[in-house]
Amino acid sequence: MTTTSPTSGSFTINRNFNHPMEKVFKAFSDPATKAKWFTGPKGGDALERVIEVKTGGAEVLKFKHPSGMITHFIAKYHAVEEAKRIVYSYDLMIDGRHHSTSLAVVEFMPAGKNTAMIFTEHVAWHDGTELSKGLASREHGTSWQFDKVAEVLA
Amino acid sequence: MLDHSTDLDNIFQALADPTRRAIVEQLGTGPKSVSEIALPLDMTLAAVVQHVQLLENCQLITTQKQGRVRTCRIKPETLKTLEGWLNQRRRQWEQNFDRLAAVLDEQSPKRKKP
Repeated sequence: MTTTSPTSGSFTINRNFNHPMEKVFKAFSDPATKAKWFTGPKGGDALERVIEVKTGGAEVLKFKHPSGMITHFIAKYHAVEEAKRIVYSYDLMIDGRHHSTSLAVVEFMPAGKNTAMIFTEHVAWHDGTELSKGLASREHGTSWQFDKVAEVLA
Repeated sequence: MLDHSTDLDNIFQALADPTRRAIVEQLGTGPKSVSEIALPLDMTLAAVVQHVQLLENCQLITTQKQGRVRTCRIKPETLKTLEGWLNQRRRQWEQNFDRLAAVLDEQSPKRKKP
């Protein structure tokens, strides 16, 4: 489900993981595990990385993409409830420009022995001109990411 | 034509201005004449007309003149383009979660799907 206003929008992603809630939560909160799945494309460099998933904690990922584009993800954790819920906000900078601000909520629920996750994000976009430029680069990055997913699953 | 990047450029440039955002928001409640749009705005009618023209040029709104009154309305197709941008962000997260699922499966190979 997605909704939009002229400069902001929200979407929800529902996912089931065939693993218990504690383990899925740990993949979000444990720095080594999170760094495995939340990163930039291969061939790029993480210039700055902070993962501190706790209430009041911060997360930073400054990443130089193979194209030369630099994305800077700067997050603050507002509420982290063990195996239950994570609430954070983040700014995204692209090549030094303020691109967007988001509020994200990740909720975990039991589904038998497995985990149902609901991810909701509301995004507000800032620099209009740079936005479509970012879109073009992102499309490039996106097709690359599909390859990586295939590689991990192989 | 709308998903062309120059069109997107123009749309976002148009929306980067707070006055034009306010105009689009006003039109969100229904069609309005240029003078109705100008009413809550602290600027000359000529300045409002310029903003309206820019919004029309990038296809965010359409206008129609009947007699002396120019009526403006929002163009829903253009807002759909913005929705496309939102779907990009959504897809990126979908891919992150695909990777997350793979990482979880790697941690316990027995549960890995064939």
